[in-house]
Amino acid sequence: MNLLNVNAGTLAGDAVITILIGFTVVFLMLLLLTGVFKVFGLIMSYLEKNKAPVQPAIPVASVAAPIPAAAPIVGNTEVVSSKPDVDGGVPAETVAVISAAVASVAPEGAQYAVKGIRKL
Amino acid sequence: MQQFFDAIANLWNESGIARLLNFENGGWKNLIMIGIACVLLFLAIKKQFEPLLLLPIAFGMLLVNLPLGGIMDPQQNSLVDFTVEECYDYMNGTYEQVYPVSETDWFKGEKLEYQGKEYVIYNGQTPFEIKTFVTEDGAEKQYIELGDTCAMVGAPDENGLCRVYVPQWQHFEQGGLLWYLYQGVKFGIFPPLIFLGIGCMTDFGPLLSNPKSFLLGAAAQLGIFITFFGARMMNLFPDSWGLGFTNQEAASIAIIGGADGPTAIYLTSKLAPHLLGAIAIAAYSYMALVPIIQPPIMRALTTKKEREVVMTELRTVSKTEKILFPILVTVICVLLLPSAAPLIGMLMLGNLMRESGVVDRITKTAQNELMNIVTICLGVTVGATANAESFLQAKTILIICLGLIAFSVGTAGGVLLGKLMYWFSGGKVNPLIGSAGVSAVPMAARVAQKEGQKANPSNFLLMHAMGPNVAGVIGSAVAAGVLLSLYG
Repeated sequence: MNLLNVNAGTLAGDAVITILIGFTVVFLMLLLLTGVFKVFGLIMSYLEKNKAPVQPAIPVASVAAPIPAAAPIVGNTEVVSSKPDVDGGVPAETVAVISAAVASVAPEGAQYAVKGIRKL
Repeated sequence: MQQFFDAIANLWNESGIARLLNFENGGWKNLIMIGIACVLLFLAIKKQFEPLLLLPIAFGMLLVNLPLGGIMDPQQNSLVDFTVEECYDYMNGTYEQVYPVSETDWFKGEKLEYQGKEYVIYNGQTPFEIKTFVTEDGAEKQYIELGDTCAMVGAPDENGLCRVYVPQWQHFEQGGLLWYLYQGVKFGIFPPLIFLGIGCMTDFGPLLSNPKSFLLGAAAQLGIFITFFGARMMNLFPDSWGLGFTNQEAASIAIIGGADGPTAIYLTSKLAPHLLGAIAIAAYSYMALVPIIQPPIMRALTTKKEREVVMTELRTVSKTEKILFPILVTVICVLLLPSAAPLIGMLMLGNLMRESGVVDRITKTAQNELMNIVTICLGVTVGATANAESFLQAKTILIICLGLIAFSVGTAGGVLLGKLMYWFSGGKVNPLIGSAGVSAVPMAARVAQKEGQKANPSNFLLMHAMGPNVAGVIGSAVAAGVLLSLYG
């Protein structure tokens, strides 16, 4: 294609139009998605707040290590922070690992408290 | 003895080595391409530059530039005239049909009689004498002689015109292996299948928990459009320099800025397939260079205080949201931009398969076996389009330079919008996550994480950066859809 005679103004003008159309469409499309999913997220959060009350705390006895005072949050299951009765000599890291393992197998949305950890 | 030497000489003359060493006929170009292929193989294997794609691309380039291999030769379909003998056999019905026969219309003309002979005439031209052939079962067929072949004369139609047609057999010459595999690229099949696998591997949770990341993904596509402008401005140079790009070529080069290999290959195969080799190599090389290209731009456009920002924890996203996300995105995007349907549709299908949790078997297939098979076919055939004639041009260097600009401007665009969000949010958004809007998943997010930790060792930006990173995949697919609808 011989474009030697196309002047710079025309060329630049056409290219700028493409930039404006293209970037605007991309931006507007993703802006729309932002809005949709922002609203979507608010609706889902509202629905989850109004769900049926969560199950009562499930005590866990006889787990073979201690738990530290600050408990982790794993997914939608919350460990209620408490100081359990722990056998001496069990390191805090082991307590943390056991808490996380219990939280991972507990039902979603449940609240529970680890009451004590004993060496078997 | 002379016969032996003649045979050896013939073998040599017909070998690829002789063709390579025939510098007068361009054999040196193939040598250069073989060298480039070896360099790319080195980068893929030793330096591990996106090896999953760069290795097959480089090897495909090597294969196609070994002369006379024919591995990328197209299938040839041609029509060959029957000889006069074959015409008689054809009229007798005894022609041995090895290949399909085409009755190619020559003209429709009127019959006339003159001095006891019949003629057929077309549009006032020289009339052809009609001859009669008596078949073995006594039927009469009319034909005209055309030098080395014949044309059949049919019965007159309602307007009194006779159809004159030439029987030809359809000669078929098989194409090379990679030419057949390349049809998957040419018809836009392989890139969407790769997107299917990518969708199966992508977690859109970080994006859903912070939907503003969509905007960062959009801003990072700025590089595409700026590069389009730059590529079109190359037309201001004299035509004889061969540096100008058409709209289609400029769009294909610009999409490198999306940092998305399948998208770049998909768009280029539709708009400018002759540039596919160069663009694919540029795209995948720059994706591998993300950790080198991005950090200086990120540091130049942000202050230390901005880079130190610790962002609040992301909210948890429910399973329901993750399942509805791909459905909503598909409906919205495809209704508004139908040309984006193949890429967005397959990406979201893969993601829906993953999030639904009920089609584990096909999800595993899509993200493993299917993706691996398609990657092999796509890579080697894309590389095989990089023959000496199409690759060794000044335009190739220009494509590589423009690709770098696309990448850099895309990074800058994302970071700049990140800065804007930092100001508007009162310092709650770390601008570094904007650079992850280029869709090199997850490398760009890791780079943002690393730069954030350099400024503040206790900062953990990875999951925040994953939001714009995966939004960039959608953004680049939308940008490709826009360019396709404008110039496809």
